[in-house]
Amino acid sequence: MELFVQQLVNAVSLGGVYALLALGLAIVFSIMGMVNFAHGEIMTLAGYAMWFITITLVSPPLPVIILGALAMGLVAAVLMERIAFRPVRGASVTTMLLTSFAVSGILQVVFQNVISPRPRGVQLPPELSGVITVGGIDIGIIQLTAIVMVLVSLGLIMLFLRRTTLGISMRAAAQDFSVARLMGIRADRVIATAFAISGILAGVAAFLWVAQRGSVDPAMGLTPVIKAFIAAVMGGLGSLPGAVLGGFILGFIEIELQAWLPPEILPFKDAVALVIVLAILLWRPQGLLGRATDRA
Amino acid sequence: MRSRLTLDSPVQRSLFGTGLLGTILTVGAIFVLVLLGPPEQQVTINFLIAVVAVVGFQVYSGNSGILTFGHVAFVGIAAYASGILTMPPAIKEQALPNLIPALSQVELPLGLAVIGALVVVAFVALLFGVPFSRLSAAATPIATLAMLLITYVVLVGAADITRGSQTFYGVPPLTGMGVAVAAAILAILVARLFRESVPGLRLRASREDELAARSTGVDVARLRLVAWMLSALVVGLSGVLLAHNLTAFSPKQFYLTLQFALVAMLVVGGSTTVTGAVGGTFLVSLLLELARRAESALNGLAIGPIVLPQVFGLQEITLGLVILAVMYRRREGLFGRLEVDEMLARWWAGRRKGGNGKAPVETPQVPEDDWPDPEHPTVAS
Repeated sequence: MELFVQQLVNAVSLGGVYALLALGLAIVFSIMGMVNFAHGEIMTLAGYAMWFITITLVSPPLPVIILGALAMGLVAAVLMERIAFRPVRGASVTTMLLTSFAVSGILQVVFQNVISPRPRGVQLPPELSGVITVGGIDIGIIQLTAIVMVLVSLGLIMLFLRRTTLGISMRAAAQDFSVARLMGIRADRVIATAFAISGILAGVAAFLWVAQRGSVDPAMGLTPVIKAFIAAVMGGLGSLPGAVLGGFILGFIEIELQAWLPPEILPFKDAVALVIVLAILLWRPQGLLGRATDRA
Repeated sequence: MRSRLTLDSPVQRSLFGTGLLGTILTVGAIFVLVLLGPPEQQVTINFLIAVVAVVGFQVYSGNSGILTFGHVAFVGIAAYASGILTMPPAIKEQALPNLIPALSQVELPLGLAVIGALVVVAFVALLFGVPFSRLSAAATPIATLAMLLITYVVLVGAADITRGSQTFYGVPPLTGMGVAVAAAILAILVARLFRESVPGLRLRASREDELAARSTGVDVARLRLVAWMLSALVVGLSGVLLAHNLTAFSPKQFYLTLQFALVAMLVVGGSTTVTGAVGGTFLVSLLLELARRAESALNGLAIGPIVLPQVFGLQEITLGLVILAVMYRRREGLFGRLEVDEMLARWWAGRRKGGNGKAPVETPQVPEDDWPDPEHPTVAS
């Protein structure tokens, strides 16, 4: 029981990070058909913002660090769309994928040269690394924070998409962009909002990622975002609930494999996890919650 | 009046186009061999190996319109497979003491090792290709990236066979200039023949409009699988050549860096034609070599007492900027949508019609939205 709860906590906190990233990718994809390879660099930038805050301010309070990460994620994502992605708006999936892919490579080199190719340590308040005991079960505060932040973020996004005019117009645009524009929905505003949301979510993910690892480096965003991509595809590319579901499932698979794989197979953990995902895709090529007709 | 250069048969067109590109490559290789030193010869061999790989990418990505971020997995698998098959048993005892006995006594010549390596590649490609061919065009590039990750993790993890992340050494150096040129020409010929074949034409139709192609009875999933397999084999061949050129390597040489460079080579020239793939490989290889030399010249440079800070990633940033420039200015690639023989034929036909020695026939205007996506129609900004 104790082991089960601890595993569940680990799975939800890791899967939650994937879910946030995958949701950000899915929002942008559903609105403009872009698979944003440079999402990881938004996350890395948010991580560098945390590093910058912790070295410039003397023991900054946690909310300041979190807000810094979110603000950086938002600004980075919106600027990226303005500067790099607007010239290819409306182009094919391939063109947009390549553009974002080039932006990702360029930003990584910029981080290496402007900041450092080596990891930068981020000193977070020590109370974050503690452990609390709930009913005889030890739970790390970082994991608990992760779960709370993931659930709050997802809840707020859901409220925004269901209750606000802008949110509803975004859902309309995700279903059919051209028709939504005919209904008077502004393309620029919807796309900018999509990037802003994906940037904020990447900021939350960056905070949780850096809080667990304690440092930020130029390629930090690459691995989690590739996993989030895979999670989004597993959930059904373009489906927002699918992306969240895919993220949690991938986190769950990874944690379970870590716990149960025999030691001689443990080095292959990531490969096994991805093979399981591909097996799911063999069974449902459109993804778990994707539409079966959506083949083009 | 019919022009002599109007090549009606697809096979003739493929042969003529391959002959043109092959002649250029052969003459270039001889020129380098005769006039330039060993470093330049090595760069040229690397370029020719890249041609094989990128042309292999083109077979799949160019005809199906689906980008691949995973084909470098086949380079790696073929490199290790061929390395194990050709390594002398005496070296194996040292390098791979835990290799299974059936493999530890094997020492094959290059020709047989190529076949062995390609059988392994074909097996892996089929394993991944079946689920991939059923995915949507937007999801497939991500899935291929997953394939590359899986392969990398397995190459690092299977230390008994690959020495893990340590350097795999003792591979006989068998890739000379001649072998590399021959392989490049073979790859070009295979890619051209597939492109002009009926399945190739059908797959290209599905690239332009998947729904329309399917509505005329084209089995898109099946053709994607066919192109995937052929492409994996050609890319595998480049892996064999690379192994016998490097002679010592580790898994991280067959990972994202190489993958990104090869993708850039493909799209810069234009992925829809074999000519574009070869031309793009040439241009990007040239730029990368210049960037490499510039980086080593810049680092350690001092202006008077000021030592310039170290520069990183000049090659990576070159790749990024080149891709961005092409995506912003010329999405169909620098060489457009015509093969070299088609360009010549058009130029020739225009010359005869115009009679003034100029070429009035221009390349056809390619629509802004090169690969239309029915789910996401053009959004005017």
